Amino acid sequence: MKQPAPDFYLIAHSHGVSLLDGITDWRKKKLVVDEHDPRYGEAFQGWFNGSIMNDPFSANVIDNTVLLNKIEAWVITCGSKIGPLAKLESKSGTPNLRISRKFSDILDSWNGPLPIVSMLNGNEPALTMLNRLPAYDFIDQEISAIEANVPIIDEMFIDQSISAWVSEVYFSLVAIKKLVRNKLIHVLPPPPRENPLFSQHFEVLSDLVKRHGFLSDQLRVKWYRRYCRRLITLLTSLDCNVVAPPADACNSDGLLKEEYAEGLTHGNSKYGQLIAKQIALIVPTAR
Amino acid sequence: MNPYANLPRQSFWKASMQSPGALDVDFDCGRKFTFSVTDSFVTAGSCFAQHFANRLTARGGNVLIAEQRHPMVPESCEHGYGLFSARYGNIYTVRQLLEMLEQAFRIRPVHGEFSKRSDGRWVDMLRPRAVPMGFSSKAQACADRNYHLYTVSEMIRKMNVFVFTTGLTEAWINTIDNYCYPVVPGVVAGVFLPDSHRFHNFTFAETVDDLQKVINIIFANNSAARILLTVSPVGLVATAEPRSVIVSTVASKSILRAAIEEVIKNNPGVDYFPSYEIITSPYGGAQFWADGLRDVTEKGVETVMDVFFHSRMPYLREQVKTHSETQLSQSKEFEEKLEKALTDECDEMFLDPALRSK
Repeated sequence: MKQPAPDFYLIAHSHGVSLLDGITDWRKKKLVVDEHDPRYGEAFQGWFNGSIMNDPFSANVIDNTVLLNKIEAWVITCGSKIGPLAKLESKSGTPNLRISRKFSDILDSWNGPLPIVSMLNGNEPALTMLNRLPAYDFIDQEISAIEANVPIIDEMFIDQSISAWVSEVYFSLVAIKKLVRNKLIHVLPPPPRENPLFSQHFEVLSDLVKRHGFLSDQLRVKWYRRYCRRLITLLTSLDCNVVAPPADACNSDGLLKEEYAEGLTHGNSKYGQLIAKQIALIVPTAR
Repeated sequence: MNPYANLPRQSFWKASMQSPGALDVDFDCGRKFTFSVTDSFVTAGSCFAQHFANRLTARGGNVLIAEQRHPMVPESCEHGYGLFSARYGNIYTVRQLLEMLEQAFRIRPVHGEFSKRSDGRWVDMLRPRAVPMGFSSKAQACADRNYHLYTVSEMIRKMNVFVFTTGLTEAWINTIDNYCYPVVPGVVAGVFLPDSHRFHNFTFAETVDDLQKVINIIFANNSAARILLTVSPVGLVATAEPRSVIVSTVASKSILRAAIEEVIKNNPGVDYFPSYEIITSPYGGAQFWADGLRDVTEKGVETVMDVFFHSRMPYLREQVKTHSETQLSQSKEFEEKLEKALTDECDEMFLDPALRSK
């Protein structure tokens, strides 16, 4: 019997877990957890020890409320040791996009009319979440308030950090556009968690959280939004659809509501369900 | 018997000039107070104030840094931190210092005049070379100015000693909002507008009045502080008076020196240190003048600081001299930094078109 074609291909780092957990049966099929790691919640067991399959797999959509049936996914875990998918290098002054062999092979097999949904990277702005530096603020076009009596870091330096982060995902998506003709959809990461201290798991940051605590809500949102704006600008120029965090999952300050959060930086399966609904709306138009 | 009969050697010209070394002249014998090794110093003023801060630090003195480079600002960029206790840049006139303090303590509104450079970066016209890399936007420049003024107020509250090296009396005034510029608009940044930029040469009476207001602000916010005033021996680069720059230099320095004499009489917590006399008196001859006869040589600066430490901080001088000498002689990088600090960062140099192109 011929298997039904997937609705889309998913290429994802850790943020893809919320989507897969939210609407598919992927865990029943692919995940083997050898031992429980207390630093992480259930969603990220096996993420670091390589026990999640390194190759693309099919997952059935089991959520009847979403107009999707099947996803073919390549989930790139920390344990897979794959490294950067694409990297801009300079060969005797000429820029050259170096693409990983595995990435290139998988894209070859996906080349066609089905859209590719990217949930690559996205944890970069979270690098700023800990309050580990002397107090500071920066000017942002969206959030005009600035903290009094602290150094205001020049936007040039803020943007240098953000450009470095954005380039990680950007060059991977450029590689997709370069190698295949599929339409491309990128899902932005969820915003910073409303109350990160309420997280049941501090992952590998437990000691640092105890030592430094978290940056102010306003500053965490500033970093996140600036990252997203910069990424959206670049992705628009690539003719890539962008899926923003679902409004229902965010509070009035733009932070991720507690009931949609997993650990310090991720959305949970409920969040993934909301993302799936947004993807389901775009996929038919992207085919 | 006459009133001079029992005066010490340093009261007599001939004996002073015959002294074997600057320390023997005892230039600073009229001092009111000395300093402790733990005193935290703030230095401000013209180019010569940078020498003072650098040498004080090099000898192990404690210079209060109120406005520090944040770790997110790369060390390699031209951020302007570390030259003075805060990023105010060179302060040439007493009026400029007064206006900065009045803004820092909200005695007058904050003046926000910013100008876009040809490279697209923004400049604070009231400290146009204090932050050489400039700012990304006008809003950035404005926010940084507010934070800078906050650090100035904190600096005044926390310091033990304020060393102010007065530079000159000539300035350019914004006639619309009545504040003075460190450098005339159009030289480093901005545009010179004859209708709103007026030259002014501060008189003796104005300088005394401004100095007294500065002293009052400082003591109102830090009653335990002590103030040490000096006059920079470095001459004017250019004068806007219709006369020789040499005549204007002497006029400026004379007014500043006399104004300081006037205020130290009436303020116990304020003293004068004679760096000006050490360099310019016939005792030094020409040995302390660098090529061009405007700037002071390394030897001149060392001599001034030797006298300072000997007179005001003898314990520190003895304690760290060896370390200082080793550090100075062994660290080429330090010397290069110092040279850059003392040449590149001197706003006034930019008045002379011949120097500007360097």
